[in-house]
Amino acid sequence: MSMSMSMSIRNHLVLGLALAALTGQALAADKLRLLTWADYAPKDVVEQFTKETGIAVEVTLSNNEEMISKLRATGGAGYDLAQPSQDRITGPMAEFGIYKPIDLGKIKTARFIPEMLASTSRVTTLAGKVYAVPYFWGTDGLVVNTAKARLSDYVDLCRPEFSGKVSVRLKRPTLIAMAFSMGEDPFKAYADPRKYQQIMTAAGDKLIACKQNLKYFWESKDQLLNDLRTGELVAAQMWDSGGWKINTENPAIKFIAPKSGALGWVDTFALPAKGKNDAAAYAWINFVMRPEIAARLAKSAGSFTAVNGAENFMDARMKAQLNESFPKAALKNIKWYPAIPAGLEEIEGRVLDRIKAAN
Amino acid sequence: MRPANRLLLWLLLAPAVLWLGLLIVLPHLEILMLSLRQRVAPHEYAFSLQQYATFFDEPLYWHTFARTALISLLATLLTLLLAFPVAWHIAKVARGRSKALMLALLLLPFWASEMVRTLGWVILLRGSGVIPQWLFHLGLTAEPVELLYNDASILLGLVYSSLLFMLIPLVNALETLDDSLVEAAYDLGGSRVNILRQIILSHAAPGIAAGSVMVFMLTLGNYLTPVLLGGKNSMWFTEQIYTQFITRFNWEQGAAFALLLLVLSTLMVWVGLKLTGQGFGETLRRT
Amino acid sequence: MLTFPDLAIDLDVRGVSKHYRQHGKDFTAVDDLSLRVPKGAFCSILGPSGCGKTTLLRMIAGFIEPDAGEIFIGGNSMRGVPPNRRPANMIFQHLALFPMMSVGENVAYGLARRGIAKKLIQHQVDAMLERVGLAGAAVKRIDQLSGGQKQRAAIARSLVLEPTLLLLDEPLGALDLKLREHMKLELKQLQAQIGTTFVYITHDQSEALVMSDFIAVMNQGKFEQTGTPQDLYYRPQTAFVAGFVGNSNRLSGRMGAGAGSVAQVDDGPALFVSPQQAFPPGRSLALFIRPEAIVLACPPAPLENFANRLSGKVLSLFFDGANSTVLIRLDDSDIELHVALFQNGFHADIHPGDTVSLGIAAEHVLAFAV
Repeated sequence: MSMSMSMSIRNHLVLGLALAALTGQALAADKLRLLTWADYAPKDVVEQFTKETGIAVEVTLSNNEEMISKLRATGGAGYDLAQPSQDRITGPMAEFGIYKPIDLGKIKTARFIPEMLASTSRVTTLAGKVYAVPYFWGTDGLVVNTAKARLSDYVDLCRPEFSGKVSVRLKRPTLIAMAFSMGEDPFKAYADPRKYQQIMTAAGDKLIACKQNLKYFWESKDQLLNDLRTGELVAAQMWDSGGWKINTENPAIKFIAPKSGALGWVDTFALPAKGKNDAAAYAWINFVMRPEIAARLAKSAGSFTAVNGAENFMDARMKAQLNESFPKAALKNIKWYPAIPAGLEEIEGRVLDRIKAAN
Repeated sequence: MRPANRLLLWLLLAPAVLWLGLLIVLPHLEILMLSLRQRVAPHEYAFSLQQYATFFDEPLYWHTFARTALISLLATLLTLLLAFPVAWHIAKVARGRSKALMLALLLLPFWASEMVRTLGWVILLRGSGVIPQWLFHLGLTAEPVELLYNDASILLGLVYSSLLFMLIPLVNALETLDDSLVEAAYDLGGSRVNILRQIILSHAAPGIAAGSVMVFMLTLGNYLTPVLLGGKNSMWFTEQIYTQFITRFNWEQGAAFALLLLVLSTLMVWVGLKLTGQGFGETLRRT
Repeated sequence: MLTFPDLAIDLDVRGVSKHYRQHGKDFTAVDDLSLRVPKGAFCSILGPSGCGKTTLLRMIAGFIEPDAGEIFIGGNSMRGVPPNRRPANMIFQHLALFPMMSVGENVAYGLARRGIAKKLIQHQVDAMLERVGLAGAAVKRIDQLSGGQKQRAAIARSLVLEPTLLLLDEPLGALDLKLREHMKLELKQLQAQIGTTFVYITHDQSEALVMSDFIAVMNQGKFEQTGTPQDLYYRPQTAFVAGFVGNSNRLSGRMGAGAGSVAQVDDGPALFVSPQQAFPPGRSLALFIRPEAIVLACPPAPLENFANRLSGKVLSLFFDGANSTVLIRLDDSDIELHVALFQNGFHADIHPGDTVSLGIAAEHVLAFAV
């Protein structure tokens, strides 16, 4: 016991020293503290930005839930720029006040696809103020090893022949996707908690009945791709860029838009409420939204940007993959996440817990 | 005491007091306060026992709680059973260089992080991994079997990461056992089983208690191993706490869970020490 | 070898050997030893450390299996019999009392292993503790006992099993001098009173001499001589025994050429000696003279009854009550002799620098070939 205690003392000391060093550094130099997803701020782009502007970038990798939790813990301090999905902004903002409004006047808005900018503004407006601009978008659908399995929608994952060979995440998109494929419209029910509860419970029951089919609930993208590669998994619910990545290695494994519609997400730029360097944040936004930079980023992340005309710079293979996965109708049929009202997570959480506990 | 001396005393004590206060007492008070409130509306909270009521109302939560406690107990027991012969060998059989070598070998895995060690097991046990492939090629199984994602793999991971913490107090305890006590008991007619029980185990009891307390607490609080090795049915209470805090943004519920876990581990350690007749202070000294 | 025609033999060791490999070399710890101990005897095995006596004892107890030979206890072969089934119990060097048990539980341990009823055990334990003078100590913890009490508790723990043989591995070694002197007598009395056969190993010749009925002196895996304490003291058969048992002045010399037994001490006088066998002239010898065998005259006087008459000067006086000695340098040589001072007041005023006469009978100068 004395061992673990002394270890934790040491950790705290190290942490303290590191914090002291960080704050000292932050005061000394112009610095952007960026809270973002993996692949959204590759090293070469960061280096170019620093070279051009003299601003150092400190990247922290995260996901939607963790971003909210981190910012909530500090009341919106510790970072100068965050990249949550557009549907996860107004809810947490109303609840925890973790963002500040974004000044569109400081952003070169002409570089954005107008419809996307408008749609994101609409989704992220709270009390008449806009909180985010779009950055990347993409979809959630199915990755299928077409040499070993044929399926067209999420419910097909539950067919008996796939027992032990498919996987989904134990997260809210899974419930929503399942609900759509069962013929419901959960997005419409966002405003009606009772109806939403009913839809989620039904989707949960479906997943419980389907649980023996699932090899595991996947958490790590690399683990999932690896098991798809080795054939241990034949199909999984996943986002498009992951599907296309493995498609490049093995053409038989394809990303498909489910019949009930792929789920469309938009990741954004938003300013944490107590960010200290807004100027650097705006500089970064304007920098990465330059078409040639945006194209580089899109290629490294495997996602699509909200930059107007980025398709001109778009990688040929990605274009082909997009066309294969999304025929015109499927593209139209994408279900875009609306803003999540506060409290919905509670309902989904209970359902997810029930799925986890079921045997 | 002169004022100057008293000041000096306080200055000397300050680091310890600060450490206790800032890193142990304050966070726990904060957790306690958090657990005793409920969200009424945005930015509005009221005193409530709702978080604790939820815990008892929702079978999932207290099932996970009980399951975590039981598996931790089982893991502690298995660790003890596995570690004892090894500790005996190191303390009583091995000599000189081979003893040092064995201790070094035990420490070696701890140079890698817990994450890497656990992923090592994933690589070994997964369907396309090393062990299932061997079993398949040796003809022992008709097809490569998935050895991951069940309670046995959780236990395996927990026991593996706990072994060292059991071994060190055990080796210490057994090293202080005078060999002639064992010989005397043998000479007086003791059987192997009786000597083990009455002489060796009762001499090593404080070391066993120390190792078990440490392993139990580490296991109960482990997060990575059950999550990585447990798969879709793994339910571990720390995972529930993490989920409440991070993905549900429900700090109040998470705080209540965290406090319940603290109470559980304190209670079980206390009961364990009482049952085996070990003093808490004595046990702490041994760890 | 002594013979005990009319007594049962409790321990019979026949041609036992034990070899070890140490640092790549073969090492014989016990070399073809035989020993017979009759019922009720107190037998000591006396030897310097490393002589193999502990190995011998552990073979008798059953902890070590001999490479050759056989051991009989109470007439039964002990081949393949583990320690917990042998009718022999051991008192360990540091006693090995179980610290996790009370004194009573310690004594009851062996009885309980035999499956005896609790009530009966209780009774036997109390009786045994009373016998060794520990009445009422059953509930005490081991660390509440004094050194002597621990000794008795350890003996009680073994004797309560009524073994044919009690093996004792230098159990007095850890005690302080005064207690050791006391325990020697107590152990001897206890053994006489109980009548159990004791095999006691020690490197302390005084312990062996005081307590034993007979002693086997052991050196380098072999017995040098077996006999009563008096035999060993007055009639040592080897230079090793003469030097190891009791105190002696040791001189080196050569056998003289003339008739009669005269030895020439190197760089010293010629002495009439008591040869243990016939030596050819010129043979190297070790000569042993006990301090109490030298008679002193101060002031110097002719000592006509002694074959050897010498003179010397007192170098120093070691006053130790009954054990007082003086160190004397012989005239015209560098030879120094320890001489016992008898406490009859006769030599009470002897001082360093005094000139003295010395007389030694020929039979008190023991000569061994070396």
